[in-house]
Amino acid sequence: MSREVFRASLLFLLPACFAGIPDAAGFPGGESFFLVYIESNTGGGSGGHLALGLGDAVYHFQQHEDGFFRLKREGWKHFRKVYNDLENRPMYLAVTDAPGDGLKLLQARLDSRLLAQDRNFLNLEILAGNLKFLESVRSGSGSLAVQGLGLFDRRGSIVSAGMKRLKDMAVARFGSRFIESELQDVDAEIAALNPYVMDMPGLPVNDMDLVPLVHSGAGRFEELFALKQAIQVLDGLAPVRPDALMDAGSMPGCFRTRLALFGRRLEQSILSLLGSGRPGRGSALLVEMARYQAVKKSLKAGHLLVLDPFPECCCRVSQAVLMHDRESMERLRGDLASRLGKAMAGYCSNLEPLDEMAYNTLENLAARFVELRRGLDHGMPVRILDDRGVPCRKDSVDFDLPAAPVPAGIMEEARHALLAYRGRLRQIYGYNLLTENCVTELARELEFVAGNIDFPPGKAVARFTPATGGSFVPFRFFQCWVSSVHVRRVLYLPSFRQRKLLEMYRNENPVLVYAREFNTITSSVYRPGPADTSFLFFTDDALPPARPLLGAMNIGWGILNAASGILTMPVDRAARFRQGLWGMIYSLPELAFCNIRKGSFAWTGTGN
Amino acid sequence: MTVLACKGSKNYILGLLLATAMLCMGGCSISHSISSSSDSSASISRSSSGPSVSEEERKAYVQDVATYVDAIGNSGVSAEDFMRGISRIAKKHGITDWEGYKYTYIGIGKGLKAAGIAKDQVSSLACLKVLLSGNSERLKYIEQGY
Repeated sequence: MSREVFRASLLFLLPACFAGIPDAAGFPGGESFFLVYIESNTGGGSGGHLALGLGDAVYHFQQHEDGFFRLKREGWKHFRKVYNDLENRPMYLAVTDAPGDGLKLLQARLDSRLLAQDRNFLNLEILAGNLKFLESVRSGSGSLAVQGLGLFDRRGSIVSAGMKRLKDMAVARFGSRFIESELQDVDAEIAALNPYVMDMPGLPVNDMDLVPLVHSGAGRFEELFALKQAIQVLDGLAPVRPDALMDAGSMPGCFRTRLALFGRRLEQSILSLLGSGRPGRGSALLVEMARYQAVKKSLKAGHLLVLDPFPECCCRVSQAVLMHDRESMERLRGDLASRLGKAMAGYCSNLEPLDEMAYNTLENLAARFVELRRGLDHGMPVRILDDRGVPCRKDSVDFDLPAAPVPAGIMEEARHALLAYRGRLRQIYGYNLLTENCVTELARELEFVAGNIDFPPGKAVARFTPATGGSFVPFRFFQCWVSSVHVRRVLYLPSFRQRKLLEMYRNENPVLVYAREFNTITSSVYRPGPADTSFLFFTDDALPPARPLLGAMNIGWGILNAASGILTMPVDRAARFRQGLWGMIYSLPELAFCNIRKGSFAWTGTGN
Repeated sequence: MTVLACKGSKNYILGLLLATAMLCMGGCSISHSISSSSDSSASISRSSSGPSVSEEERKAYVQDVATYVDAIGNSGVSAEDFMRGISRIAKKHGITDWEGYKYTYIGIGKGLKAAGIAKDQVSSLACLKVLLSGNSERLKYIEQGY
């Protein structure tokens, strides 16, 4: 074994002896990027994970709910919170210098790939929407779901004072016949439109190919139809639906001033949108008008009222799970309340402008807080949203069927186009354990950049293939990287539990701490949760020679839990049985001195 | 294809077999919304750690717009498609009125520069004509992004 490989291998023993842990505060930046290896845990990451950090952003590949394997970009702070804290997985960062334009090239390459990926999935949506539209017309129902329309109560008799003000402003700027003439123009364009045409570009060649947008008559029809609805909502002075608003509680006086200013900005923004020639402005107008009403109501009530940003199909956490971790969730509620208060106070200071992006962030924060509060106080499931949400509640509206019937063969053509595009994307964004995984895809990007410059310094980097010793495995790739490339330094970021233990070892009797914390029954840091498999002993911080023994006992514990789970099956829908079974499976590697499972946390506080 | 191979591969056979077994069970990483922990209180914490506004967020928006403008460069994309492309990027960053958001134009300027389009050609670009007509402030922001 070469000296470099030996050194790289030693890195992975660090957690076991808690030695040489660098301070993570001096985070890499400047002309460096960092390769991140995240240790394994149960659930979605039993093989470990690999990511690439550039500045404040982290790029990594993940398998998504639709089965596609896609590139994702996240902020470092959020990424670390999820993987290092909540999932309790230690991380290793190999800080690597990038000479010349290396960093710029790498970032441009990854951002371009994200852009092409997004375009491809947008085209897929357009093709699916086109087929849905044709099916709707052929069935004779003629109904369209308009994004943002579901935020309004269009059937009641109450009118909104805020909308009245907006309408008056629009009339003052564009003339008294503005609404009438806008509606006429939209109707005329709809009448002249052939909703059955489709201009399909070629299929994407590869994951970097930015194909043109798919054009469909149906898509244009939907844009115009949404615009017509938005103008009618303004004309009818429709109020925002009470159930589309979420009340986040009182707001500081100084924030009210800033919010009032934002309300005035919204007025100008809505007027600009009304006069704009931008396609797709109908849904944007609906969201802005509903937000305007939310701001007006907030100012009147002295409470922060925001629109519900959760999409209809978002995931939910069940009431039973919520109640199991009630204590943690109460703490999280406290954190959210505190963050919301700080965010509002921050806008008072004028340091941070309250623009649309900032307001949307506040909207998201407030909505998550209200959602959790509702779940805890009223025992309701809690909706979750991993990304930023923009209010988009839909409502379906019937439309007049086009005069011409659906031409023969057009449905088959639309279906074929959709299937062909989806099939191509399956080829491009498919997951393969050996050849298309989080390691191989990142390696490909590094390889591309390396082909253009001498990068990393002193080595010609190319793809790490399985033939070279299985470097499609995250930890193996990381070891190869550290031993083969000139890495400036390697940082070790202990998992959340390890950090807590370190504090305890410093302040208490280490023997007592170990005796208390090495098992899940007496541990004061960890509390078994429904997301984790059954286990009795932690083996991630146990010295490797002890792992087989502890693993054998964990298997026994898993068997006991699975057996008792058979009895509780009618009550818990086999949850305990499954936990026991998976507990046994994840204990097996411990017999061979390896550790996968580390336990996870429902709440870890606000900071790292 | 050049391959950077690690020496001492044989010593890793055991580790590799185990790692493969691990991968067979779960692979690298699965989106949290479909992982077994999606119905867990940790997913509420994960969701709650969500977006925040900072200079980095705005920079990311500017960068995404610039990447888009650089990519389409001189492709002759229509003004409508250009705006549809920007709308999509803006929505991902929580922005609906991107037309009135100065960072959009800073991003456009940055992207035009990367695409090698001269400053004095900006106002004559077909894809920008609708956006720039009668609005000198937007042109000023584009120049700022150069």
